[in-house]
Amino acid sequence: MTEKMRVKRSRQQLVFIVVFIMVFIMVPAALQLLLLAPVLEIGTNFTATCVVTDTDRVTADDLYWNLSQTTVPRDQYAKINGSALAVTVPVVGEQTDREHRPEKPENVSCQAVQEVEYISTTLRCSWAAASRQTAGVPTTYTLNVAVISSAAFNASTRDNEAAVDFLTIFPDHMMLDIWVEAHNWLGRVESEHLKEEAGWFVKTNPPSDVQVVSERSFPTSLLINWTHPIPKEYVRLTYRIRFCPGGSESWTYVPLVDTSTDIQSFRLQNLRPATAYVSQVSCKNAREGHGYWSAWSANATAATPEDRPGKPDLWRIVSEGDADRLVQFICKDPVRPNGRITGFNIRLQDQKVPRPVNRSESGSVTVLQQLRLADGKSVKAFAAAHNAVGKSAEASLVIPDKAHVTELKVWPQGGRLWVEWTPPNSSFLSEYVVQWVSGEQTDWQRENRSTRRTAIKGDLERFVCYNVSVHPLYAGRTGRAARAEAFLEQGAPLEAPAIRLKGKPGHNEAELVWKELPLSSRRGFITNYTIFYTSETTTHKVTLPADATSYKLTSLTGNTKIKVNFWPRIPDPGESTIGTWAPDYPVKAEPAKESRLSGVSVLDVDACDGKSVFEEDKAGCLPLKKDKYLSEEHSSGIGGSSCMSSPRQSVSDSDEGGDMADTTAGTVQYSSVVAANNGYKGQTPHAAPQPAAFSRSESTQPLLDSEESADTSLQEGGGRGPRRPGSDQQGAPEALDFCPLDEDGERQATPTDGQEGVPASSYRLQLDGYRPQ
Amino acid sequence: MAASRHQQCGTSLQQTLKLTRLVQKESINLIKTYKASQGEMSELFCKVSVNNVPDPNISGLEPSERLLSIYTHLQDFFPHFKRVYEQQTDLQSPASPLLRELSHVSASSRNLAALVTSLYQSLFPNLPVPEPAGGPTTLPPPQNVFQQKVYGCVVLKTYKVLLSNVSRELRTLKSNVCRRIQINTLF
Repeated sequence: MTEKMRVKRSRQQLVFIVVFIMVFIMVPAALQLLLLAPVLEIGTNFTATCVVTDTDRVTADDLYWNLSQTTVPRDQYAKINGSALAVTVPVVGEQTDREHRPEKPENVSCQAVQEVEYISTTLRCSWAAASRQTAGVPTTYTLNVAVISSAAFNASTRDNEAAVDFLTIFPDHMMLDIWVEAHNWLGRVESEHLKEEAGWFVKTNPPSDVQVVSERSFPTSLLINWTHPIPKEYVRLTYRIRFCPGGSESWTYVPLVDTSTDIQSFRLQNLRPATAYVSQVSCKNAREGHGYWSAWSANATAATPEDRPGKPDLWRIVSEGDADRLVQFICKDPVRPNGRITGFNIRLQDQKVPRPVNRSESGSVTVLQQLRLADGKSVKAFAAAHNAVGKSAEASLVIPDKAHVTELKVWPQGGRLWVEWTPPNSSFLSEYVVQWVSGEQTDWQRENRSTRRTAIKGDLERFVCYNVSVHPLYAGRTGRAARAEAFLEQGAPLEAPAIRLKGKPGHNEAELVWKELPLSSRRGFITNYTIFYTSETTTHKVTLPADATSYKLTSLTGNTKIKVNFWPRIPDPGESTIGTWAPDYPVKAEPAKESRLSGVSVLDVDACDGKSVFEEDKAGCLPLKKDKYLSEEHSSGIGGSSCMSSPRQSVSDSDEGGDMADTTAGTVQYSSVVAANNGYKGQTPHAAPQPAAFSRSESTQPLLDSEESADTSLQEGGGRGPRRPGSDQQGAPEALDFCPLDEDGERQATPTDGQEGVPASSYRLQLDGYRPQ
Repeated sequence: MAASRHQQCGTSLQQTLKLTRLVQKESINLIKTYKASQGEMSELFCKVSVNNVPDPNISGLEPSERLLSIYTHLQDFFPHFKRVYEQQTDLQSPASPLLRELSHVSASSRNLAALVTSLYQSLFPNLPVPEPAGGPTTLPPPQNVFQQKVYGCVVLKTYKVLLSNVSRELRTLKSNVCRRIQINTLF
């Protein structure tokens, strides 16, 4: 209590004490002082009445009032009668901590709990007291509970909670009117009335005897049973259920709409097999808004039965080899084991009977099977898991083949290099990469998965061998590529291989050796070599494969000089033109722009007597000399522009220089003069005499047919037919493939017919230049 | 106003029905407890007919009369409950559940009678309120133990019959009176 309060109280007390004293002393006659209120509220009026009991001595007119030693003015008096005089004075004082009338209690709430089989006869209520208790003017709260049409009950307290006892029974189904009255010396006030049916206030016990039943035939379900805590005639109940896996603290609540009134069982569904669940049940008055939820029942625990397991987690380890892969199929337990996994089984795609595999005891991963798988093969594995109930569905995993591009074709057309291929038989293909490599330079381009043919978009050079490859991509990983070599344009080699004699020639034989031309000199595919060797009267021709690097001349006549023409390549006949030459006419044929003459090696060999070679007359065997011709001009048979034109060298010192055969032996005759009016073979000569004109063939291809020129003795031996582009006649020089094999040793065979949009001649020649696999 | 009457009719009557069913259940349990606490031959006690036990049948033609009959018949049993309680107090131990249940049923019955009165007033506001029970009820003269046991069982059984009749009557009242009010409300 503050000082101010003490002062104020003192003043209040003093008021009536002073009044009392003054009147009593002044008038010893019996007086009765009536105070209408023991406690005065500041701000109100205070009325005191003085009654004279012995009016023989004193009357009301003789009285006066003093208040705090001050006489109260008579106008504040009220003469009641001759013996009674009242005075009314205002109660004044400091307002700092005034005593209040009680404030209205708020939020009255009541509850009756269950006791044994009935609802308790005790109804406990609580409320919010707006003002706090003060010792000077305490507030008393009275809880009033009226059973409508029946009895009323009440209980008083200084606290903000109280209880009433209905004595005999809880008034089930009766209407109750409940309110709280607050009162102190200064007044009283009632709370709002709470009028509800008695069930509104009831809190029952939780459901009793809660049991959870596990049924073998329902591995994902549990049945909860319980007993009503109180007969439904007292209160109809609704229920709420919650459950969680054992060890978890996360409850799952069954929706209230699913737990109807008066039920005593409920089936939980969609549970995990082989899992323990804890369940609880609670209940409340089923009437909407009535009653309180009971406490949760005690835990009821049961485990769902085991069920067939889910699929195992199947995976693989692949170790890449040169031509095959080591594949290990492995697995882990299913995400839903639904019981204890005892083992697995595995089968491959062609197997009907799976093979059992015990579950690994050392770790979480079990190795199911290991096998070697060729790159071109795929395999599909099926695995299942076992537990006590049975076998799971099979999980499967495919190891796809390393499918590759096949039937790659590369050809020049329209100044570009075209690429065509057969796609791999794989649905995992995402795109292609077409790559071309020459020497140190590599370039590539991407093509979508539906492309089968494309042109290389880069700038390619003529006479350069490109290693073209098509790489299939599978989700970013490269597959096995198909490769081929190609030239945008082929030309004569820059040089011929250097040919030499190996050792000393024998009596009738001599071995020639040479090295492959370097790539940079080939300028095209060398398909074979042709060796022409001529003795004094006979010319022999031998065709060797492009990979040949030696040849032994046999059946030679001893002590015979042999001239060898080494013919490494036949250039592209597609560049041949026919021009007309006549003494008076200018040459009309335009020379080819590029050199097409292949290099020719000439070697004069003296085939010595084997005896003399090694023992007696070694001097008779002349040392071999070799030399090469590299003619830059097309030449015709007449006029000097001839393959036979100088420089010409002969390793022989023989005096055969005037011999036409000698003259021509060291050179390649590319053309001959043909009388125009004769026409070519097979053509009808003109009837009218024409001016003499001679046509010459500005051919890029050596003349090989005897019909073309009597001088072409080199051509006699072959029995060759008319020269045709692309013909692969015996003796016709062909392109040799000198491009090195790639590391895979792949060479694609290419078809020769039915190629769309491809010039037959050059295409065929080039095709013939490929070395089939 | 009419809608309120209809709703009140249904609510009040439903409330009375619920309490009737509760007292019915308690009376059934009470009979079991009674028989169990009367010793041997208790089944025999309940088959003996006794005079001076109130009639369990509801009378009257009009719904108001029948509702009034319900009230008076309920009231008629209160003195008999009291008599049986007094007799059993002498026959049973103080902790006997019979006495507790007897008190319970008696108290519930009083509440039921109060509800019936309230229902009557709400349904028939212009009819006089039934007088509190005070009419002469013929109680049996002093009885020996056997007679007391028989009397007690007959009273409880008869009361159970009354409650059954009351329940039926209230359902009839609900369909007749409350529906009529509903129809009147609509039209």
